[in-house]
Amino acid sequence: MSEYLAAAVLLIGAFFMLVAGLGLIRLPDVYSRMHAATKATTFGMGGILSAVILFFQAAHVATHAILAIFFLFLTAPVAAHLISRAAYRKGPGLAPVTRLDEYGPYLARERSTSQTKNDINSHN
Amino acid sequence: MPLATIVFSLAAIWILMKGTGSAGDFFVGLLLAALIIRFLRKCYHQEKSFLRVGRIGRFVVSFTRELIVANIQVLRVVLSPRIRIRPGILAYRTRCRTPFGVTLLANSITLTPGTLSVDISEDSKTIFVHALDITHPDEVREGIRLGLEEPVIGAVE
Amino acid sequence: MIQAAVQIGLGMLGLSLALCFIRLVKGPTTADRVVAADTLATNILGVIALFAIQSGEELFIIAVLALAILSFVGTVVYAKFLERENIIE
Repeated sequence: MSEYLAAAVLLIGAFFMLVAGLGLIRLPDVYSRMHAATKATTFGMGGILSAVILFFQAAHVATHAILAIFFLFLTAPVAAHLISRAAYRKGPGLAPVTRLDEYGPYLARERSTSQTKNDINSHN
Repeated sequence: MPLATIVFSLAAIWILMKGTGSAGDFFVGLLLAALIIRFLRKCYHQEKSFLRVGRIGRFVVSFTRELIVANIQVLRVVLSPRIRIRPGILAYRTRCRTPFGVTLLANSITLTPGTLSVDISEDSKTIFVHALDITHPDEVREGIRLGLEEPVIGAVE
Repeated sequence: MIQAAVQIGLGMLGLSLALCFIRLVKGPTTADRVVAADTLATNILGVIALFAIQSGEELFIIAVLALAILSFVGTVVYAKFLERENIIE
């Protein structure tokens, strides 16, 4: 019984990993690709590692798998945040379909204030 | 949580990871846990009570629901024959005040439907959110407020 | 039963790896390549986990845990590099 459950969870997980790959190819810009890459891979790894827990049914394997799931859920958003932030600062590169951008004006403002700060510092 | 609870739960995780539990193993676990606590002393705050467990549970339930919805949405977007998205970046004023609350909220935003946190402003009051469908920005904001921010504030602030 | 599922899962992950690799080679910007490399790493974690089920060898799960940590550090370094163009300050 639990073997069937493990197989089902495993297939769902692997399928979402495939969805992440497809999204990486099909979506138009780096930010929307990151949507697919972050959400679908964490969910997919959650599925695969749950299948591992169901398959082995041993406490120490389950501990390792749960720690791995926890770690992936913790780090995937941080990685996405760092990459998207760096990508925007390097050059927005938003897809032409983008409707709204409230980050650009903020970044311009922040840059101009840090510029004046640097000027003051260099004068002192 | 009191320090002793953290040390003992870390030691318990150590035992679970080893698979075999003898008294010596538990002692080694305690030693390692104490060492970890020693190095992470600065990050540690005294927690007030255990009453939060229920609200943390509510956050976990809410987060899991949003996670599943998010993945079905990604599935729909990616597998549709023509990609039809209206993405954009919007500014979201958060009401979370503690650094941990803001971090947890930003991380949860990334893993839930159609939204991805790009950056946090210098004063950590505004989160910039990239959304896949931004036809109605206020609906996106409302979704974040009800689905995530309320549970996060309830759980950790 | 589960072995058949593992085979199908490995096929899906292989396809996903190929797609990530296409994005890694094509990627118009460096950020695209970093995202592709990150997804590639997570896919490899999935492959290792499936190997663990296929061979019944529990030690592979520890490898998954360790590689997850390492790949996160790698992605952080890439992001820093992207932002500043130099890592050592």
